[in-house]
Amino acid sequence: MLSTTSDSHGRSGARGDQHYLAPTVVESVKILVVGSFGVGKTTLIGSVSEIDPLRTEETITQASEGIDELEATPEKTTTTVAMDFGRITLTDEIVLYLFGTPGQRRFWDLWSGLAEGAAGALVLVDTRRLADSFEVLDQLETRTSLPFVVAINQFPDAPNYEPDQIRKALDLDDETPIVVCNAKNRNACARALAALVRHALKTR
Amino acid sequence: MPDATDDDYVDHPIRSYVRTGGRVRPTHRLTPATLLIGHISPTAASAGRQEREVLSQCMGVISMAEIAVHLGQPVSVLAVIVSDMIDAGLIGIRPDSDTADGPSREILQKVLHALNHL
Repeated sequence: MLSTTSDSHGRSGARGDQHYLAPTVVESVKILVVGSFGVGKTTLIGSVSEIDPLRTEETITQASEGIDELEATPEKTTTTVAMDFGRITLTDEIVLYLFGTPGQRRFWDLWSGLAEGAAGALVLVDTRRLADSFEVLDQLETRTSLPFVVAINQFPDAPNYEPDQIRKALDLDDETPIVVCNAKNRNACARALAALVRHALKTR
Repeated sequence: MPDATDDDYVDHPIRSYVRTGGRVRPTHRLTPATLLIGHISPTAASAGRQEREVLSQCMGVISMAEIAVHLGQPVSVLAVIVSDMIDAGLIGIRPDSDTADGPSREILQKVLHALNHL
């Protein structure tokens, strides 16, 4: 149950009263927020969501396939994959869902179901750990046709690279937009999401 | 909230296949962003205990992902249960929610406009 009473973002409206969407809402659109562990996905979602981010879990039983040592263990080994998400009611009829998911290969089963029908993916990147983003970008490019935008989550102690340097380091196409975004800032997150939707409109 | 680790795993006393009657695939396309609304009261005599639990979370428009969180069930398990409830007329899908083809240009333009004014 949602029981939040305080609004840490200082916005008006009681968030505890938002269990349900408005009865006029008929469309849901989703955007994936992807990136490696600790890059700020849930922070970004929390900055723009009208509800506190929620976490849903799936259990994957085939995660240990190919590991022979498990033959001695009678129980099947299971891995829990968690996904944090939030929502923003954008108009009387449209709600946007933001699903935060790590892009590593072992999360793919969950992720591929999510990618179908998504407006696009916002790839959060930490410039202190650029190499952590390689696998996420590789998965997006090779396994989906989703439009995506790279959003640099600018941490205070992170090196300040020019977008061109980032583009080269991440081997991105010239068409892939790069935006700088503080995941804690609601306006910055909204601008990054808008950049993604603008890019998605171009690719249609 | 930090990203989840495997340490967060908690076993459930009732196995998922008990709740779904051994079935693993829903008959309707139900994703985390699919919007649902209950068609009958959770206290209706025609609903079983499991149906009532779901209906108690669907007294307004709400997504699969949120219902799953509130009931402590994975989305994949809930999808099998909800699928049967749709067939039985207990619950309805908002047909334009999270379509397989993705949002139309018109919808994307409305989304962009709203984000620009957030």
